[in-house]
Amino acid sequence: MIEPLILSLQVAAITTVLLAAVGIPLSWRLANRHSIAWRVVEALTSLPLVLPSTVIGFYLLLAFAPNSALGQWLISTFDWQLAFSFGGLVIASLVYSLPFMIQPLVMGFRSLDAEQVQAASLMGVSPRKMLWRFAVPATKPYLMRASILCFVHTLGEFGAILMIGGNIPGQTQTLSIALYEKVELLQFSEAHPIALTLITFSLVALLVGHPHIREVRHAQR
Amino acid sequence: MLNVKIGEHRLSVATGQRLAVIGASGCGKTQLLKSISGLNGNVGSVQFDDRVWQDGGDIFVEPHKRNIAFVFQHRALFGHLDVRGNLLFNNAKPTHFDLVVERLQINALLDRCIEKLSGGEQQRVALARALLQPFDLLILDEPFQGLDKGLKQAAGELITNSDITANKPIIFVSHHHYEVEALATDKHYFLEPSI
Repeated sequence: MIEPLILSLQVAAITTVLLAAVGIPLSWRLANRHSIAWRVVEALTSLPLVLPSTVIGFYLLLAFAPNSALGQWLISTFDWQLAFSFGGLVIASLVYSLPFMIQPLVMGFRSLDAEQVQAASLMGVSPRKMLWRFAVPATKPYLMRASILCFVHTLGEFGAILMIGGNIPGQTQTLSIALYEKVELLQFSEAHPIALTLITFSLVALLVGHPHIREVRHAQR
Repeated sequence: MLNVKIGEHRLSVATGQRLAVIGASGCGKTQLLKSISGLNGNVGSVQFDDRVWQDGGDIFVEPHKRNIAFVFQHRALFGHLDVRGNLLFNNAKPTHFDLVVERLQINALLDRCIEKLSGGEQQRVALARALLQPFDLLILDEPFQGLDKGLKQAAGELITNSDITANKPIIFVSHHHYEVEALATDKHYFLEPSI
């Protein structure tokens, strides 16, 4: 069980860091732009919430398969085969967990007090620097919450990574997939520790993450 | 010298002059101040010395480049920072820190979080934060709310009688006669309720 656990934690950690890097600037734009095009982008980022993860896995598999154009290009240029590899798991997780990073961040940025943003700008913060200089520090609890949700959600991911990663012990066999295999083989006594580990990790993370959102307060008016 | 033409409003403030904008609540004082600062977009025309800040057309200097210190009516203090963090925001080494902190009696509050302060304490922090910024124009929207008489006097003196504001134009909103006096305003602009 140790190998799948480490693999799951690695995928979750890498996914969370990458999604934070992409999600913070993207969420800032989503929170501040009001054109139809941006509404479409926002809907697209929420799509993984409602789609079966197998749909995501299916199309990612087609896109990155060694005989697809993209897959061939990746192999010939970087010698990088994403289907049935660790990289594939991360790509699938990035798509699958995207809304869990984006939605809390957008909510946080939209909750910013407009006058505080104006005050920051009169204090010399340019629109380009507003995100990192003011908005991110002012919404830190939301970022914390987004990262934790993203981490546990990736940890519990199943369909998308089974589709693109298969079930290769040590390479793509994460906890959730190892659990599926044990159940299929009717090895319930080995399935329990895996399931309980996932429950424990998620519960602890949610407990740690939850109170932070309550710390979001704005200066009394 | 500040020259403003926004809608029906025409006002000018010379170097070192203090202009009181006076009018009942709801007649647009705050919006006028925000428009002058560029916070309402490119409306009307605003010129500061030989620089056009906005002309309602092509020219618009963004608010962060205008060097305006602004005390907001609702203070707009940053809730995620403590008092010190607010005072030093984007301005790590303010010139008059000790003077301002002492006169506005903020010393004991420096490490407190904003939400734990009373209204009057928040008002002092908002005043101090603005006065510590480097600025060419000072705009105060009801700056003495919640301050007792002694503190009003101290704040008024700090604004009228110190190096901080020397020769800099000040615009100041109030509907309290006392505040207009405390700031020894030398010019008044009366706003009529619109509609």
